[in-house]
Amino acid sequence: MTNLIDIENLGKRYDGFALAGVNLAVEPGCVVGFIGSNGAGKTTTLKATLGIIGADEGTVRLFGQAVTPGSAALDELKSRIGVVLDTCAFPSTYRVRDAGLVGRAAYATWDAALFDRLLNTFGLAPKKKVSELSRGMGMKLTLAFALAHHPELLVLDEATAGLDPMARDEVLDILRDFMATGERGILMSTHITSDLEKIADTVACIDGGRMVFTKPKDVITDEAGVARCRAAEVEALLASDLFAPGALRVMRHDYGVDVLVPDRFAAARALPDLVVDKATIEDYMTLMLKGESR
Amino acid sequence: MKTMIVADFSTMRSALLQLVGICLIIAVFMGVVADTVVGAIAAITAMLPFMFLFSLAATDEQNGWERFRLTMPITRRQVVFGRYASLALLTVAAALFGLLLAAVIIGVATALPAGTAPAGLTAEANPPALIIGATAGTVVVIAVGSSVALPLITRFGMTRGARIVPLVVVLVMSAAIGFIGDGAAIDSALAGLVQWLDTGNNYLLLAVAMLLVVAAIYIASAFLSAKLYEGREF
Repeated sequence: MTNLIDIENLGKRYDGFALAGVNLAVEPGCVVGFIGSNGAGKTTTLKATLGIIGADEGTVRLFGQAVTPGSAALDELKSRIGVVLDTCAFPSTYRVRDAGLVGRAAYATWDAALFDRLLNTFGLAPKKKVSELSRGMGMKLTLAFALAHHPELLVLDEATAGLDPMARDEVLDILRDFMATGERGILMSTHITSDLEKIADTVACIDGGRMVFTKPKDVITDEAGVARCRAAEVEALLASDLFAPGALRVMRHDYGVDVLVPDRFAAARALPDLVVDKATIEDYMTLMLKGESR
Repeated sequence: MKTMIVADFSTMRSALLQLVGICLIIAVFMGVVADTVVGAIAAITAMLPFMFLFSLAATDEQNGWERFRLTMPITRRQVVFGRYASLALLTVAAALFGLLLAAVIIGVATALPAGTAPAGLTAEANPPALIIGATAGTVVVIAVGSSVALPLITRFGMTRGARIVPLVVVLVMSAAIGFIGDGAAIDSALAGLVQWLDTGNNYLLLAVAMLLVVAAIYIASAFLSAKLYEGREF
């Protein structure tokens, strides 16, 4: 089956920043979490994916077709995508219903009844001005807009940032409903890694414009672990030959040493006295980015 | 292009409604105090499109609206042409509104007993050719101004464009004055022009010719903007 997104060797150069060799894929039925620190290249990657900027190197394919910025073919591809950015982008003078007017003009597949239903579900009054919406309500309006033309793919850039936990859970429920058909997909850039633990299938991490890892979420949160070590335990772990060279990440704190191990069960079996916690996505990312490779 | 027009008019709808009210007040004020219909029409016809243009350009930069719009199935070319179309539609509407308002003011002033309304508001003082010519002249000024401002705003955005547009306007005017020559030459040319305009239907003839020329300039400006917008990074 054709991937919804295929990014191969993507490169883009700016003064003081370069995106290089980025590879990323979103398969049908898959939610891909895209993480990394501020300025790592997430938004640049998403902009290139949507054809808002042109790539200097590499290729981006949406639904199997190459993305050429400015082309009419890209319009057809974009009509199959729903996008939610980190703010409600509609002009503050808009009323909620105005977003529906724009949607109807922009998308041949616009479903006005669905948009109205979503507004109703989200508690958004059509006559309310965008300037009067809270951040959470603004994001729900953007989400309603993104969903009301029956997209096959959602691209979210920090869509849950700034939302309270209740609102974030509501958004995640909406995304789960969206994924219920099994053929759709989501590419979700976020700093809130706990959201990805609830919904992602794959997690991809970028840093300094380069991909650091792309792993199934379960490999991170179920298999990997963080060994909380004293100095002597670190040496024992490193000397154990349990893992291939370079597979461990070691980060020293004032109060001990954290070691990221790819298989926490193997580590616990080999060193029964060692405390090995399940890794969170945040642990995994932090240790992969800041830990010393051993 | 339709998406842009809908988006632009949705953005400006409430502001336009307020501005129409303000225009009515200005028209009455200028008519009664300044004793002129032509001035009132020119003010209305110019104010609405310029306010529309700069407000839209400012809105583009708020909350990433310009970037978000590009995630919809709309090409950059359509964004630019849509913006030009929105402004053209608004300019035509403003001109028609100005003409309608002029007709109402002149009609009321003429219907009132002699000496009640200012003489400058009556039909005798405002022949149709003068009203239409003044409206066309204002449209020409707006179209030329927009043709200069839009490519700069399209390329640099409103924030930087607002600094560059006045600079370019001053440079163009300085160059034009330098090209035309000294004040005496301008006075002489204007006197000749006025004399020619007062002959037959030359007033309307010039208005139509100017509208055709600025329409061509406006279209050329749209293509230039589209080209410049292709290279814009977000």
